[in-house]
Amino acid sequence: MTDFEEIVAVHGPALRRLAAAWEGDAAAREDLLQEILLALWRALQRFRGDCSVRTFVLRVAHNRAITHRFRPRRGGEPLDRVAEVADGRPGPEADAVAAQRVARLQRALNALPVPARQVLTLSLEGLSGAEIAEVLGVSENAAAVRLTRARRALREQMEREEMERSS
Amino acid sequence: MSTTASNEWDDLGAAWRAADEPVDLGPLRRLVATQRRRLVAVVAGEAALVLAFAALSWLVARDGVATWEAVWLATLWSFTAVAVAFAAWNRRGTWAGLGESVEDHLRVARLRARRALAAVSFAIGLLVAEVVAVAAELAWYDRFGATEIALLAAVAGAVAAWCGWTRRRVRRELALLDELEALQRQD
Repeated sequence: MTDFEEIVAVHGPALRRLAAAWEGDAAAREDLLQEILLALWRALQRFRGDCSVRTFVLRVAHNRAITHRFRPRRGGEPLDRVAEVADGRPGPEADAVAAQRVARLQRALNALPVPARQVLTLSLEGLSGAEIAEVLGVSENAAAVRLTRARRALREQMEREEMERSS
Repeated sequence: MSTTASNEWDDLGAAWRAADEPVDLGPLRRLVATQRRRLVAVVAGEAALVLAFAALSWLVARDGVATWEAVWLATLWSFTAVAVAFAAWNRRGTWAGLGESVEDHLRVARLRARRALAAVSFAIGLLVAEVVAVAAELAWYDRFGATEIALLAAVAGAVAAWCGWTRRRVRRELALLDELEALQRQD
């Protein structure tokens, strides 16, 4: 597992953030993270260096995340239910505002449709348009269009939440 | 996108990436160990089944084989050979892990689902053929009693239950794959 461990040490936090964007519930998020790690461990045997390790890791993770998200839920939970996101980052008080902001962002991401969530999480990880297109298997132009729409939807969702909170 | 919006997005990205809690590999190691044990159990189970068939054949044949026993053994091994050959043929192209691109992932997932449905259809066909063959042999040699009928019914019931459960599960998977493909086309 040596290469795998190195890759997880570098990209593990990104995988954890991705899982948080897809699953609001803490237990489901941990399940998804383990599924992603298992898929990655298996997929690494086929990795031939055709793309960057980061692109490869995120591609495997996204493939796993969409199938995980679309699996029928116990008790008939709707697919895109907005789950309560527990912010698992206890930090010093100075970070409280940033942590709240990230928690809001996670909640908003959880509420968005899957295509928007895909591009946004990749963009938030700092991937370029070309890298996002490579991960999602779409054209660069399509990725750019999807990202523009998704950012707008995210902004509206965050504003809506803010209004609900203040009212 | 305006500069303000771009800066805002960069800030949001930076805040997002600041959450860098490492990943503990302990649960994954336990999961892999469990899956390995399951795989070993499945292989051991298949080997045990073949050994049991071989032992049964030896027990039947060691003091000479009556005609009905020879027919029965030939039936047993013929159906086993057909089932093993179909299983190997039906797995072609599905060994590769779920693809790296979303399209590959969906294609391989769909292929596996279709093969699972093919396995169900095959199992139903094989079951019908087996029941007909065994019932005909039992009737021919005048050995068709209540115990034999109960055994045949139990096997048929178990296979039918597995087929029904698998078919429902695979159809659900195919519906989800359709939904995923529709999402991929939303550009």
